[in-house]
Amino acid sequence: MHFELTAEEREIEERARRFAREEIEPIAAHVNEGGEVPPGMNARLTEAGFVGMLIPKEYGGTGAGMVKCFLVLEQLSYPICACLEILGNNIVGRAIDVAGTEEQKRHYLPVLAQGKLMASYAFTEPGTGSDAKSLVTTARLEGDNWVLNGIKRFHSAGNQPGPAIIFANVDGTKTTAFIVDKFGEGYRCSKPFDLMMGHGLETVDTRLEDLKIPKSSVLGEVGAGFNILFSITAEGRLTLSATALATAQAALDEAVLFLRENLGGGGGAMVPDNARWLLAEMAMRIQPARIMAYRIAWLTDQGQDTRMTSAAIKLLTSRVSTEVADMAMDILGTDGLIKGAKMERVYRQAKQFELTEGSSEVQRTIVAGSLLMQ
Amino acid sequence: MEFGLTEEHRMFQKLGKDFSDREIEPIAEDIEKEGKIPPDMLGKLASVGLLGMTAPDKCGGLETGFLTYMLAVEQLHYTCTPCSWLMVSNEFAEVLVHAGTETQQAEFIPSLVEGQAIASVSFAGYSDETGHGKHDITCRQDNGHWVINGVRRLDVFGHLDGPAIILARADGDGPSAFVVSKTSPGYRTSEPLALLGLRGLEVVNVSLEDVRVPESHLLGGVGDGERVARLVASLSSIRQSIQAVACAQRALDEAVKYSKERTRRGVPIAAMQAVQWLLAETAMRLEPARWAAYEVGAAHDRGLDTRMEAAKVKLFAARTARDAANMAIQVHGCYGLTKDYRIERIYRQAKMFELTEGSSDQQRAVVADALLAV
Repeated sequence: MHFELTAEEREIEERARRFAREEIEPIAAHVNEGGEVPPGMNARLTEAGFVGMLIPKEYGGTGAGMVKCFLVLEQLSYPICACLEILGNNIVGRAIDVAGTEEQKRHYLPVLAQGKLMASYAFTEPGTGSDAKSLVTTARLEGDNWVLNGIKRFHSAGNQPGPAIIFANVDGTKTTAFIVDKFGEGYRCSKPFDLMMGHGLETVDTRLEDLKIPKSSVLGEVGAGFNILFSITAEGRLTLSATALATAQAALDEAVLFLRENLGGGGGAMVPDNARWLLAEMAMRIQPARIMAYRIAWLTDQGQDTRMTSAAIKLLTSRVSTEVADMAMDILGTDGLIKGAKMERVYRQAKQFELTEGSSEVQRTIVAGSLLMQ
Repeated sequence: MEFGLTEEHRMFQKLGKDFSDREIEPIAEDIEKEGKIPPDMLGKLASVGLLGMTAPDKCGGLETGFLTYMLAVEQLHYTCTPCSWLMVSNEFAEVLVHAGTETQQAEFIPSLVEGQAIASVSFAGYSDETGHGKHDITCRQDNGHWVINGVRRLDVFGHLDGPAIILARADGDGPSAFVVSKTSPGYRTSEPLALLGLRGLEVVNVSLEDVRVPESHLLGGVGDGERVARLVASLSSIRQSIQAVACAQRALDEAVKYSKERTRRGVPIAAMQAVQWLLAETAMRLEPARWAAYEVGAAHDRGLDTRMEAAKVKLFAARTARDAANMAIQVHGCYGLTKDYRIERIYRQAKMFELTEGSSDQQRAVVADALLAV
């Protein structure tokens, strides 16, 4: 057991921390309130080596692995600015690398690793959120094409050019994953949802109306979509946990900063006991979740199945995020309510993790199912 | 970072588990009923080497480091009996390696390793660490000896032959740490106190009346006691954390087992979502508590000061144990209140981690102080 970072891990973490401080922190408030992300951001993220971490070197990625990917996300998420959509190329890239044909890999992975296109994946529908077996989007084979019909909801980066992994039912029951080049004929997106978290995250409804895609668009096998979904969601839950942890850490740091600036006195002597209590309650929630998340990232790199453990850590980190943000807000009082204060946007961000990428209700069911099957 | 167990880790884990399964689990209910650990338990632990894990080789020990000791403690405490406290010789040895001389180590450690004596290491009731409350034990010099007076509350094994680490304050100075033989004249103890849980863990109030201690039994320098106190507090917090984890694990396992057996209208209650969610909520915090505890143990073995991290993890692990027991007794329904079910005594014990050997209030103060320090 070695809990210290290796030199490589330390290096990439520091690189990400610096990037966050120099490139993201200065624009975070502005973007959150409606400003545009600077146009070169995706290119800079790619140059820094953050976009192809889960894509093998032979396809143009860095092959850095999940531990480093997690460390990077934790740092980049800390300014609380939704400009990291391009990092989704990591997860989709991995999915294509694991399940795709050689041709699909050569076609998609290099452009994803180079940050030239933005990948996404879409499972949720207006009537299907947590209940994975009720997919309504259909795919039927017509000659040399698959024809897709349906609506996908809350499709993040659904309106950005690039490949989307879209799940649809073949013959009514065979859940299948398809790689769709976004914005072919029959592919339409709504305007991005206006979400509590603020501007930056482009999440849309995607309407598929007789969308024709080549026969070769199946990722994996017809009917084998669930396995791909499980892998994607396991990794999605884990990487989301990085952002959740960063959010909690940001909340704690804002609370400490606030107390030091306003009630510093001699070494915090003027800080009232109730605030000190809250600080400790916040700090003690974050560290165990972080260590466990690192472990699961390591297990991922070891090739272990992380379906259950990723659900458990998402359940925990999302709860930590909500609770810690709440406690920090109590410390800042009305100062934390004012737009412009980082705490204000931390609080709006913090709750999402219990709801997106599989709500906590779903995660509980997965965790319990695993416990009861032992 | 790397999260695997070494061969040595696995060996001691197995040693602990085998011992536990063979010697403790079969008599766990008797220990509870009679309120006594069989007197031969210490000798049995000695004979398999569990009392000399951290001790130096010269003292008959195995120099495994603190983390490996924790792995064995965890296995023993899965029985939720007080037996794991018998392994305190390992903590005493660790303190003497860090703060004592080789002469002191040679004088005190071997008999502990052999199971001929038992140490008292905790500082229950000692409040100097956080600066709140007054210190109860004083010392003064007299003809090449130190004379110690005062009261020590809720001392584990305070009445059993062996060495105790005691903090005492000379007028106007910082505290000093001493090794005091518990058979010294003037060293008196009450009868063991009956406590809420962990029946068989013998805990006494100690009064020291003009107890004479040779100069050579001073640990570190005069006034160096705070450093020793800090180390003792760190180690006991880390160890209590892993005991709390074991308690929580047992509680969860009992709940899972019960929920599969107990039926309602022919269907196990495990099928009910409400029950599943209770189980999941516990499981999500259990592994993180475990690995966070391991991490702090490893940090100690690397030579780091762990007071703050130990406080954090004890807060988290103790809360996890209390919540796990609470959840588990809820799953058992009213049967959980009867002495027929193990969960009844697990529940009574689980609360104790938040109070003994440094209450959660004290741990919170340590964490807050560290966060606010400039």
